Amino acid sequence: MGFPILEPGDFVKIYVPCHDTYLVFQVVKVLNRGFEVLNYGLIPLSSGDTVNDVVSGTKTVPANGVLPARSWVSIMLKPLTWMKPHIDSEVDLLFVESEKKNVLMHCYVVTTPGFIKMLVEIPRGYQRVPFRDFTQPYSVLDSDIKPALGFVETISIPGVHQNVMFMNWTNIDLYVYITLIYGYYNIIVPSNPEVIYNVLSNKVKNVHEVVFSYYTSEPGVNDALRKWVGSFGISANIHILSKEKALKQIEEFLTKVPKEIRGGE
Amino acid sequence: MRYLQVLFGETDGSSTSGVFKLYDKLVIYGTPPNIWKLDPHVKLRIKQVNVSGKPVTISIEFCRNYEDDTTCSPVDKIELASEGELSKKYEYPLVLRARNGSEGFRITWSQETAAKSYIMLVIEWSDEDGD
Repeated sequence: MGFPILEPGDFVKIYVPCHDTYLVFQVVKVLNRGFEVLNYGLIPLSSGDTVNDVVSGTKTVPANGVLPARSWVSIMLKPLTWMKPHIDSEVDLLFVESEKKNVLMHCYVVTTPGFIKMLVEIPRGYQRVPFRDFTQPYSVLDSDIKPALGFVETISIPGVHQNVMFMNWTNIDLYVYITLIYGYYNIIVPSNPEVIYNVLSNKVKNVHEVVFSYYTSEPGVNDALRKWVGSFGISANIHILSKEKALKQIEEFLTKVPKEIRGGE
Repeated sequence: MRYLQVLFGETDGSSTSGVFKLYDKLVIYGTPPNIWKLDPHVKLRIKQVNVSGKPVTISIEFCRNYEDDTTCSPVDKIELASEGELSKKYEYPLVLRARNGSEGFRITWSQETAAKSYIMLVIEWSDEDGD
């Protein structure tokens, strides 16, 4: 199974389900090229911590790094000690501060064992699973709705914290090891509407699509999106418009994009 | 997702029948249960079984309820007729699935004379399509 990290020149289109929009960026530089794998170690749980029972109630963590049988936990991945002076948050390894508009952190959180159920929780604490036009609690992940297994892909939007949910569906207490495979990119928004149109119309080959796991509107996340790209993005439905109208929408989007992340500036 | 796992179990040397505790010390904390739960989203493929030590018959069993020993029935039996080692590599993996998440599997042993025997399993967990 591959975990593709982008190359300079590649495009990334980020789908925002909450607003049914896309954000389109081009990778200028991969800042961690050649060093994409980070062996994070055991899941950051300590003996005596409380986690959630899969069905209801809570369970106690029996030893450091163990996710008890039939339990789930939703946590921020805190930075390792040596990272702390160099990172944007003391509590969230995946966090990118809001001033860093031209940076994108693209990450695969991979677990050993590989059958841990996972999802990304944005905003933090919103512990619901989308089903059609309503939502359900995480207990539906036990046997009904299938989440990701063994890895989850995520991107960090500047100013937005995110949790990763880990569910041990087995009846065995498990040590859970985490590996991060990530790209830390310098990015721009392409300034040519035609380029964005081609990316959204799947007319370009080197495009990677990521879902920003944000399903229900929350003011903090909305503000972060607006601060980053000036709006919630480009409507995902532009493909049903004529090319002329689509380009007009993209141009409108581009006028709101802050100049520090607009290409050609 | 495909995740290979190697499990190890041994008889207790004093009982003529029992259920193997299946260990993978890298990821399992404490003592594993007799019956391992299965999940509707994850298929379990048993790819290889090695049996060694004293004569023993092992039974791979599917259980309708992972919390109830009486719901288990064999899907395969392997007999080590004399002291030594026997390796069974499935040409077509033994696939165990769950329908509602209450299901499980276990491996039992039976011997004429209680003695130490060992098993090693190569299994694969997968959520990918196909068998």
